[in-house]
Amino acid sequence: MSEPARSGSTSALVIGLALLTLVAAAASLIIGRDGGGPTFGFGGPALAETIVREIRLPRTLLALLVGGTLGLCGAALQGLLRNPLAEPGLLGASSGAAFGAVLVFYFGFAGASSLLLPAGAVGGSLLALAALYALAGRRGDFLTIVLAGIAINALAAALTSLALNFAPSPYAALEILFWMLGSLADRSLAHVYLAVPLMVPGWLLVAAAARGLDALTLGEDTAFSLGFDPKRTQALVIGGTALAVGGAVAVTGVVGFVGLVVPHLLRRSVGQHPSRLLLPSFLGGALLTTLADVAIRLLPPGPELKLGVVTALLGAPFFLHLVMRNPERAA
Amino acid sequence: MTLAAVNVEVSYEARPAVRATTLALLPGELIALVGPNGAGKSTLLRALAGLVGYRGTVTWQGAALAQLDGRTRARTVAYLPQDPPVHWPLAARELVALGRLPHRAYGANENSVDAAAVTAAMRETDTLEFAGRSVSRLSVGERARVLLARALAVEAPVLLADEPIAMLDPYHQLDVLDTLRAYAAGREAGSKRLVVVVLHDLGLAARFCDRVLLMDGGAIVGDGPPDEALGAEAIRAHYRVEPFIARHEGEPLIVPWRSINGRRD
Repeated sequence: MSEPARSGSTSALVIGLALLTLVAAAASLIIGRDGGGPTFGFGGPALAETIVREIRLPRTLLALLVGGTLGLCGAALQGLLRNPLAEPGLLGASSGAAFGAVLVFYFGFAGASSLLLPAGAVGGSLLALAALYALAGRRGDFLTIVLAGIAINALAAALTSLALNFAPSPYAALEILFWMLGSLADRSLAHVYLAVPLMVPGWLLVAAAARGLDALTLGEDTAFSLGFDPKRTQALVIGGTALAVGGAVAVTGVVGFVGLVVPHLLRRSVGQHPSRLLLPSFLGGALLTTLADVAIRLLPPGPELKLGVVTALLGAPFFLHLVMRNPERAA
Repeated sequence: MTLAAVNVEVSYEARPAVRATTLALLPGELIALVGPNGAGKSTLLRALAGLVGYRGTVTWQGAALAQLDGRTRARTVAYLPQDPPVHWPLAARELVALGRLPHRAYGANENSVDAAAVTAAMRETDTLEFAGRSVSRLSVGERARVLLARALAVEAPVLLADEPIAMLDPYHQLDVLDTLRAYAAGREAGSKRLVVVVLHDLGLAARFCDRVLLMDGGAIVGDGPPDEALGAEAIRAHYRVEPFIARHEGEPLIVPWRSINGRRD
């Protein structure tokens, strides 16, 4: 494995990632769809300003916020469950949120108010969390939580399929499907304002668990004897993830695998420390998601690829690779 | 400065694991907790560490441990489980430094006191040479010593260690018991500590420990200096072995010689 990383090299990593993220964000503001490019070609500076402010700025901010959330929560969940295959989707938070959104679609409210859809997603994610707590919160051991997460995921997927099955019209079904693919296109600052009040408290809760995650490296008994009750660490990480990921899914749909890939790529460069992985994973998630969203815009004209499709296409083989290479870890 | 257990009882699903136990343990002593498999040694240790629910009270300097906040309790009682997991392949030194978590504020980096404690703990466990190596690349015995160093690095006045020498070669078994005895005596004058260690090697328990607690069937059935607690009669009655007991270089030598057939009542 890697040499021990001292805090010095962790700060270097954080600064490097932060600079790269800034560059990617700038590129995201400049690069447009359909050959928009930095000069816009027509319409003059007033239109250019409008495009940047109304279209690209929300999109860029959301890529940063959602990507950061997924990276951070992925790293925290991996630390909590002590398994590099953990991911926000594992908890059922993502699929629960997706189901909540689908319900809103199903009843045809999505057109009524742009706020209703996110509200449904947050509700679904909180519902999934409540179910998780009811099933596994008392028992408190981590295997139970993983199994409960799988069960909730399956239930949410089944209910979503049910809603699709009974979709009032083909258009509604199509709308539901497109939502579930995950995208940053056509979002406004209103979406940013909706997501931030959910994400920031979520981040803070997760960050408060940092030292508890380090202590869990040596198992639950040692963590407790070091003064970090595993139940508290668990509540912080799960509660924070539900809030932040619920907010993220609310505005972008399901964007998978960022929370899996990013912590894995960075783990060795922080010397395997669960707590030192959090901030770099936040930045790495923001960076990766922004780059993926820019890449989508650089593709030839045609129907725009959905962000969730891109991350799944890249992430699923990576996940498979992890499982194949690490069979004992996958258990 | 006493760790006192008063009427401590632990039950697992109505089956008593530790029967009403009252003890007063004093700093400066290396105390062996011995007994046959299933006697309740680990459960008693876990109760003292607050890891299992119990009836009765456990106090340190008169304050109930269960009432302390987590950080204060962690700085008071260090606990080393039997063969604990290591979930991430940290470098050995980083793992030992986890023992300083109860001393560090959120976000604070390791200070010179922490660094000194980590280095001292690693020196005492003979693990400095692989400080930078990943624990996934250590042998079982090397890893066990690194984990012991983690517990020593807490520098708590009470250390509870569950079979810390089970995985070690003879050299390191002797070395670790010397270390624990020195830790109990205090690195500097006036810093005496209390160490309770679960052991299966009766000979080493008799040689190295100041006091032996013999458990059987969830109760303390012998308590005193090794010569008293580990007499031939007690070993026969509770371990069902015929011991060979002698002295070598003025120290007791106990070897379990032959199992005594016949079922226990």
